[in-house]
Amino acid sequence: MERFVSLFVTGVAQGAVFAVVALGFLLIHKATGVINFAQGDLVTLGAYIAIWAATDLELPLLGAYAVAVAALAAVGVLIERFAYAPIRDRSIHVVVISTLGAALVIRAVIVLWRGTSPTRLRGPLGFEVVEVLGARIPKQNLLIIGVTAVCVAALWLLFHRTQFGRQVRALASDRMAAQMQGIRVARMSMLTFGLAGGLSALAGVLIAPTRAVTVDLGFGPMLYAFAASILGGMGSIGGVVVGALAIGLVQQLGGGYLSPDYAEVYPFVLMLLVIALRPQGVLGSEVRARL
Amino acid sequence: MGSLLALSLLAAACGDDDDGDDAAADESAAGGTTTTTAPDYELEEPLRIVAVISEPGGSDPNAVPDYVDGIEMAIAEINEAGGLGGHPIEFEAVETPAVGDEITNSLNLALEEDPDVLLGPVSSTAVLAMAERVDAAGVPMIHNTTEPKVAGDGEAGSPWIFGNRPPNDGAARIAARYAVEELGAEEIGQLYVNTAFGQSGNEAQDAEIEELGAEVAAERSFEFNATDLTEAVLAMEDVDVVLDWGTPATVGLAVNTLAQQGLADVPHIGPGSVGFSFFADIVGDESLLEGVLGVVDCNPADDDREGVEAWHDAFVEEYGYEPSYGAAQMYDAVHIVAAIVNEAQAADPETIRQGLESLDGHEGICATYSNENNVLQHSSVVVRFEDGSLVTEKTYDDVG
Amino acid sequence: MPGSEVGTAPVAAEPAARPARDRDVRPPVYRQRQLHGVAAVAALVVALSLGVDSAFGHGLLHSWLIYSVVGLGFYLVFSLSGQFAFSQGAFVGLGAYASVWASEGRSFAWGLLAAVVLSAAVALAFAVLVVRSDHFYFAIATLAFSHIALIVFRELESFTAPGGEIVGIPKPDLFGHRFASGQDLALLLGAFLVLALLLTALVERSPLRREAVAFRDNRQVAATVGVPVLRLRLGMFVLGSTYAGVAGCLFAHTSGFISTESFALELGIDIFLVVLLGGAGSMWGPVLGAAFVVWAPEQLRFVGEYRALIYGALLVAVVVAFPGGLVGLVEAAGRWLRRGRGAVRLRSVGERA
Repeated sequence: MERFVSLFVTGVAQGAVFAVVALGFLLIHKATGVINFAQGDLVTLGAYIAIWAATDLELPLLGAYAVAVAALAAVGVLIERFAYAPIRDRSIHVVVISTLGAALVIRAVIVLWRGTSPTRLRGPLGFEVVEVLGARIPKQNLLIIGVTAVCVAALWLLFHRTQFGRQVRALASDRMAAQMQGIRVARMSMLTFGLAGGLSALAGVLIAPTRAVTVDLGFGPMLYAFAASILGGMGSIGGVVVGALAIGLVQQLGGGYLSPDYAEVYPFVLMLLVIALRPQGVLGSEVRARL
Repeated sequence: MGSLLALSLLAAACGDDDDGDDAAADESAAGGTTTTTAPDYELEEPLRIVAVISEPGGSDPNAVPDYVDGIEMAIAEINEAGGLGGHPIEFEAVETPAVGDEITNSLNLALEEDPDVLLGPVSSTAVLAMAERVDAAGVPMIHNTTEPKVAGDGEAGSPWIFGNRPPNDGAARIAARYAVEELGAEEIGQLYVNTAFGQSGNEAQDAEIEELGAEVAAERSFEFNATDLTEAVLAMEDVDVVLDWGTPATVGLAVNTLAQQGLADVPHIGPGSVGFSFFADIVGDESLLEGVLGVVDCNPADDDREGVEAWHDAFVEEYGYEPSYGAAQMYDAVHIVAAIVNEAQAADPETIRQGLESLDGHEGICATYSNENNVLQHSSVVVRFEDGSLVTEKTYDDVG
Repeated sequence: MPGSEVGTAPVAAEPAARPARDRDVRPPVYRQRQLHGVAAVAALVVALSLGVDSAFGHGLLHSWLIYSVVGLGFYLVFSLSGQFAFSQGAFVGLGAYASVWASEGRSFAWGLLAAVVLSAAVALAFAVLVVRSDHFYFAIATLAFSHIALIVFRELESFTAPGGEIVGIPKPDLFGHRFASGQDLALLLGAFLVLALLLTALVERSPLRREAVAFRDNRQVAATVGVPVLRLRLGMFVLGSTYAGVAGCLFAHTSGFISTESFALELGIDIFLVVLLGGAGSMWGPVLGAAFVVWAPEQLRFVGEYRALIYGALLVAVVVAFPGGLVGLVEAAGRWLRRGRGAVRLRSVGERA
């Protein structure tokens, strides 16, 4: 039982991080129709900026996190301005290669700035644990789950209760019509890139304290966020979150109860099965990626 | 005499890190073990050393500056003392990635520099990718990896290729032996990364554990980029010792996870990467390092052999960080080559190869080097963290 | 429809072919003179392999030829049938391991055969599994596929080797000759590139291409007008993946050493860049793109640690400035030259008058 609880909570916490990254995808995708391949490197950059703010600027941890989120929101806007806006009307392939190029640039900047040696971001709770049903659960995992829950709720309200959300949804359902109704597409895409940048930084500062920080930090979460988006059908916030949790749980419980050697494979096998059996995703039917 | 002075001035001018070379040279002269006194002879052409090593800022995310710094420190010393055979040593470094197509390009560029000896690479994959071309080119190479496939009797072995780290399987056996003989472990847990490095280390440990009459109670492998080891660590619940043949990042993660699962008291023995200065950063909390052990090639921070402490202090002074064993080994490699050149009074590739082949008992900073099966170093040191620095626990001189 | 059919690029049309339409009744694709191009590439390869005399130069040449073959495969998958696949890198790996496995103790030909058969079979099985999925899902499925393939290469030791590392792979031997020198290897790889180009040219000139492009641009319409959509899509994916498998076989026997890291997702992305950078709209795009991807990073060595930064920025700049890729750049240069000549002629006419 302890073992199950341990693995379950770990799975949910990992899934929660994937969800935050995947929500960034979803936002940009809804507002602009593109997939941002730089998302993973934004996660990494967020973690490094937090490390810089905490160690070099000696800010308190929460302040450092806030700096990271704000900085990444700005970086998101910069990416939109330099790597997306000039080619918005070009083919999707150009946009994809441009986001890939942006990813390379971000990665190179991190290496130049902070070096290549693995490093670490402190978490506010250190390595403390709390006992739940006999299992020792790292408090950081509970923090991840809590923050993600708040973040998801906030995004849901933003989507469904504000003018901004209505406009994003309008863009997603019919771009042309929305544009003709006077929705300012340029402003919307800047806003969503900025918001997605902030979300990436949030994911970065949440996971960084649980592992060594290297320039590859965000790559894995990005892949799993892709998988989560697939499971969720790339449609609704709820779908993406459920998809992300499923990925985290399958990885942990599959590794724990089937064969640990192939733990990394399970989420991808699940994903392939879903694509094979339900090409439109489990939880949604809307596939409108411009890809 | 005037020409000698001019040469040493030239050498000083050529050094890359000018400010402090003097200090390094002086310190080492004080240490005395490795200073090469230049015999009176004239080389036709200067010795050319070319390094093919991953450097920070290149494409290898795990690159550290230790290796090239070690090489440059040794060369600066020798050149300030008058060089070899009347010439300063010439040195070029070519950046190489740890994996991928570009390794071959890097080696080809290095060979175009017309080296008398190649130093590096420091990754197993890179040395395997280079082996065939090095053999064909006929240039001696001293690589800094534990790759058994390029040992003398390995599949990719060559008379031109020498390694100056003890073999991986030997070091892995030391971990098991230390656990059983010194820590009295009976039930042993094994963690390892599912790359050739982890797999061969794990097999060697299995054999050693069986030979010593202990038992493997739990065994878990994971991907090199694993980010969560909860399941693997939970499997280690009832073991006496955890042997961990992972990457620096996964060993650090295992340290954290063991602590969180209340297993911080279980001795945890990692591989050589524990000896790199960034390892403490990865773990993130100094108190968790207490009780973490590692099988490293040597421990310059705590070594009472003559001259090692002076060298260690000079290095810290010059470069501002704790030198790993890699820094010491590359520093030693230059001095080994210099000694061979001085002895033979010639600096061509074949002379250096023969010198490496017949190397016997060269006293260096990291170890005493002798060639056996094209492996030059045969000792490992088990270290333990104490107040954030590495303390030598036991030295083994019979590692593979 | 022929006009848009020429515009193979999802990106750029090829206006150069348009004015000739009235005079020539053959489909415009015949006017592209692929065979001349293939001959030119063959001549270039021979010239380079004879002219280059450094190991470094030969190494770059080998990489260029191998990347070109993989890139051409991706051109079939991506440009012609619009399938966004990140799996090319994994198929390169499959071909490499299959050929080493099958040629052990036998000749290179067996390895080549195994690479072809196995990569085609696996590509077919995979494509059948996910064939119903849409663009984006297909792309992600190929990501998943490459991830799984890497882990299998590492774990399945009886097929690969412990940790997926194999050393001492013999140089290729064909027709009783062992291609060991840099020059020999370049010629052999060049021959494979020429074969790949010829096969691609055949596809380009066949109705297959028209159908594939129709399918790519609008699959519903294509299906209603009787294009065998499913067969086409499978066919292109299998053919393109087999190119990758063959390239893997060549890579293994050229470099003599393989490890799983060589076939990681980075390779898939590199191949993607080869095609997009070179120009997704033309079969010559991958050949140019491969040259860029192999050559540019080496030329940037002198900038040291700034290399990755400059390379990334250069990539974005090239793509933004030349949406048709390097091929588009070459065509633009050609047009500019022609226009320049035209202007000169006009002026001279004027002067005479």
